[in-house]
Amino acid sequence: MLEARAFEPEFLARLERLVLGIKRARTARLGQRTLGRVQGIGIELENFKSYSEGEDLRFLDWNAFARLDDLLLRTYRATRQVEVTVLIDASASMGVPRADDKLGFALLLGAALAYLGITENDAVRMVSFAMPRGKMRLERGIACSRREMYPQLKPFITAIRPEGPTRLTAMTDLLLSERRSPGLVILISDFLVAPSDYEVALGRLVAARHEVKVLHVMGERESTGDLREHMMRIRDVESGEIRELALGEDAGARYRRRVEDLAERLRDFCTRRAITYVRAFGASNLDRILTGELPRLGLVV
Amino acid sequence: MGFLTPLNLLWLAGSLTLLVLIYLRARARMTVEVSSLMLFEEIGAPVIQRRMLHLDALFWLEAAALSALSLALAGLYLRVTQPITTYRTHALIFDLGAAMGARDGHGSRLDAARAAALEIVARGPAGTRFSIIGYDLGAHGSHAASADRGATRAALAELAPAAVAPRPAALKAALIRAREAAQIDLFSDRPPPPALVADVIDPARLKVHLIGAPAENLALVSLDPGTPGIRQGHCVIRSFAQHPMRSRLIVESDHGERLTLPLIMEPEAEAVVPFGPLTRGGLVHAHLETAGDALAADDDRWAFVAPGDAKSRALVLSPDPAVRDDLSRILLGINQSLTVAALDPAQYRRSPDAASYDLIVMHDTYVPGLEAPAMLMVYPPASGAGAIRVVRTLGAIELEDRHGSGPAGETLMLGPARELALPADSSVLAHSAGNPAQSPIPLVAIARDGDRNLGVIAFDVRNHLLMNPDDLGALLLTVQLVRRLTAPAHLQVVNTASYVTAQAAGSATLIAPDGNSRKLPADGSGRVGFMAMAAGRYRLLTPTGESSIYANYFDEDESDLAARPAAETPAPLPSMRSSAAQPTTVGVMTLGLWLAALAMLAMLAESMLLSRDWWSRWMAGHV
Repeated sequence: MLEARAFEPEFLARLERLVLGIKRARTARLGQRTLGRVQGIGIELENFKSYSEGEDLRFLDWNAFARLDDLLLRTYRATRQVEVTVLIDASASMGVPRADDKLGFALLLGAALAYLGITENDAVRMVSFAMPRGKMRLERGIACSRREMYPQLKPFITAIRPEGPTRLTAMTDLLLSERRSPGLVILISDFLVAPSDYEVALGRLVAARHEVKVLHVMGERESTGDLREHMMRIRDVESGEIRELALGEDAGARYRRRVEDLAERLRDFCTRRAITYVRAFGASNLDRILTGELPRLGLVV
Repeated sequence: MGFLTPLNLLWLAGSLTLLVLIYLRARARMTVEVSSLMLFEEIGAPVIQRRMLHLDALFWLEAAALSALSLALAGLYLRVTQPITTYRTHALIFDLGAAMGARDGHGSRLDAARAAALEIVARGPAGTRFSIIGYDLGAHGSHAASADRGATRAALAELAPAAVAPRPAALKAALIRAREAAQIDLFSDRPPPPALVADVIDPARLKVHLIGAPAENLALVSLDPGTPGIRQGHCVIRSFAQHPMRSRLIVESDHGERLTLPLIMEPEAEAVVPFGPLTRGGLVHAHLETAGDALAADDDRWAFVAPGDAKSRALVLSPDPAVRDDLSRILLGINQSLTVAALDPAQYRRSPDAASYDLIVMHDTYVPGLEAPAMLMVYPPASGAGAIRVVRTLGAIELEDRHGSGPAGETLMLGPARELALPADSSVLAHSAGNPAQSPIPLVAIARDGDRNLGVIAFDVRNHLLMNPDDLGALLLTVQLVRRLTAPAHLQVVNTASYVTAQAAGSATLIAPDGNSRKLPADGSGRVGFMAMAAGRYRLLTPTGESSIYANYFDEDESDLAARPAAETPAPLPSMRSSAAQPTTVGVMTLGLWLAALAMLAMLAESMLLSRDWWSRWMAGHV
């Protein structure tokens, strides 16, 4: 299973060079902030500086004034309050084709992004969503903000199994009902739903002032259309619907064109809504995706 | 169509069931789970929710292969009509009647039939087995089925016509003998009765070769030598010609007397030609000399007449005056120079000259002590008559005519008769008809009793039986018997188709009219016998001397050579219509090999389809 690689030291070492890119990090208390090590309210003392008129007297070091008779202000390392939520699609379609291990690939990517967030002391939550027996259910991993907590995600990640249909709107409704602070939301899915479903879901996340990033995951065979039979019967793993197929010689090309059309439509929508869209097709492309696609599209820096 | 082993059809049901199960199983494995049908929307076939059986070419090919193999195991066969081409048996049947000896200038009709048969033998496929069957009075195979062409030709060369009219029963027997042959060729100068043929064999297998062209013939129907010095003799001559014919009738006696009478016979006329009277008795020979006469067998006749100077005496004893009168008339009819004394046995008194009778006839009575060279016992009394013992008396009996007194197979109902125990050396001229499972009862017989001839008639001749025109067979038998009794011992005049017996001390040599000789073995009583089949003089050489048997022949139908066979056959025989058709037989053709080939063909086609699909996928990079 691919998700097991997320806890291998070699894999984690390759992630050390990456930083999760956050364009707009907002907190309820500090408002707009910049990235990186900045001064601000925190518990870790950063430096001292001379007081200037108008500065906040709460940070005046009275002990130093008593000993030195000089007004000095304490400065602290700012504590970012960006909450990173990694949403993993755990519907049944993520388990098919089985050889592609699409869900494992999605979990690996999600764990990698979570690790990047944890490395930057961001509060990271991994959430899987599925709709078994017709009811949307969100499975949450522990919230991690320190690197040493990352291994604790392993039981959660390895326990996820694909089941049920994909309903992105229902997932966002349930997620937003928790009234969490706006943060970074990374949605990893195959998006094999009606366009209206993901359009509504992503629109609602953006409307909730989340910074939304989308990873469109598909298996390698699934994306290339490895059709072995000319006469075949296919069954939708989520709906159970069966369809007889009589595949012609151009069936593969038509299939790949169909996959491309679906991805392009999703990408166009994301572009219009300022949502970062990353296409992650095929687990064999993991290195290229991590070191090429994600930085190129600004998901990591 | 049928099945040799119908139970094997269960294989078909089992195999097809297995095929369907395998097919459904295979179809089930082809169901592929996909993440979403939306990826296939533009290339999908019409959506169906459930489909248990998807019929395709591969399924039908496999079903065809299994069905063919199952039918082969069940032994499917067809009934086919196939021509017999090789190693068949070919029967050649020849009419050996007198008419086949008729000559039309290029040889006899039998020669023509022989030539046609030789051509058939020459053209016959290698391995064909020819059998040769002739028929006249009966059917006799002269050559068993053999592929030896030399032996077949030799057997054909030995065929010779007989001076008899062929019997329909003989033809039937010949056809029965040839029934197993694939093809039967019948050579005759007249078509066989269609009903007779259809009764025995499939007419389609019979090819009739009608031999001979219409020919003209004069026949000597009868010869009455008359009474020497008293009454003229006469010959009855019949013309079977379409034109007037000139002829000469020559009458000769063995005493050197010769009469020649020129004749002009009208077409299809009958003439009674008187001659004589002859000056002396003895053997009389009448001969027709005719230019263009096609048949020689009916041109000669012989008769024996007692010498006119010999005052023969006969005695007739019977309690019935009517019988005495009838028998006396018959005796005088046979020999007008005979002096006949007819008496009631009760009134008979032995006289000193009793021993001077030449013939004594006793009806329903027996007077011991009477001796004559010829004795005729008619309806011997129940107490017996010398060497003749009476077993029982029968109320009525049927006479079977076997010796030329009437058509074959006819019977004559007689009155009372007595079953007799005859001497061992008796020759039976006629016996009773009736149940074939029972031994026939001798009704007319002749035997040798010491130095005298003893004749026996077992049936009663009261009520003018011998004079009744409806019972002519009984009269003819009586006349024949009397003539044989009174004829010299070394001379017999018979009709052809008669069985002739003669006394011989040991074996005898018979020289036929055509010069061929053969040995005749004697029976236990020292008698030899043979069937006179040729017209003319037979010479019988015995250790005690030589005797002659003259055989006369005439048959109205056989002598009519002018009959055109085609014209006489209003409705062509099926065999004649299909004479050129190849003989066929109904056989069984098993289809196992063909079905196996069909199964292999179906499997080959299936393999080709699978290979083509594999190749196309491989070329498309999907494999």
